[in-house]
Amino acid sequence: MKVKLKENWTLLVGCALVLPLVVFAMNYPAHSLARLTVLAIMATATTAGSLFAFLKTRRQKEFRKTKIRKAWLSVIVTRTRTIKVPPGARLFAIVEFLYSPADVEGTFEPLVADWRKEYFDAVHQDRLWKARWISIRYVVRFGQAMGLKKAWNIGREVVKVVRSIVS
Amino acid sequence: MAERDNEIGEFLRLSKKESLILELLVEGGQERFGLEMVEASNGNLKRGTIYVTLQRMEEKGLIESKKEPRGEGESGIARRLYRVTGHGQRVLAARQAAAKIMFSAPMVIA
Repeated sequence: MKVKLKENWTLLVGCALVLPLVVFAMNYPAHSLARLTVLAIMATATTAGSLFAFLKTRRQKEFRKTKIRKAWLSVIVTRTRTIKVPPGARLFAIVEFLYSPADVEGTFEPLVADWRKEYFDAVHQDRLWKARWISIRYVVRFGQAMGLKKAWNIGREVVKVVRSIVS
Repeated sequence: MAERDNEIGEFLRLSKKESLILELLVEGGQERFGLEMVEASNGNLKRGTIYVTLQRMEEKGLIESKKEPRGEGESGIARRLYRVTGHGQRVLAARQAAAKIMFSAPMVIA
């Protein structure tokens, strides 16, 4: 299984995190508490990684015949993702229930359309973290739009009632 | 006469955001997406609130919108294209003229 260096960023980050720990531990005597703690952290991380890889290997057919180490690396490197529910679908279902069809069509449909456009643009550029961040921000914006729309609708009804009372 | 009074009322009730949206639509001279207006506004318009404002403006008759034309095989929720109406253009022109008079006329002290 080929491992591309440029895609192996997780491993590099892992090394970057572990190296300072090792350097830190080397400053202490062989059986000191700090050194043993660092060793324990590294051992735990390695065991957890191997266990995760083992479970992943069992679950996925393509990993069955590979060694645990390779499977672990492939878990880090090759990410197969399937978008089962398009972004905004659940929130859209909620607003369809709570708001009138005119509000859904005029306010929430274009918002979801923009959300999906930005999200899929980021996915096409292979920027998955950016896509996730876009989704998080759009959830907040969706909440803003829902609150503002409801406040506007209530305000409009109040004005209508007041006007009818005055006139 | 009553229609004219309504127009004057709408012009007076035009918010800062509504005015900005009308300016962007008139400057562009063509249909624009909401997202394009957000990007062109230099942070004055927000993604979360622009569509609420746009729908309100549509209800007032200042702008009109239509769904983005889709190609064959395209599915999902379509984006909306917005453009200014004649009424919206008049309201904006009146507002700009009023602003010009307000801020350029010399102050007269009685």
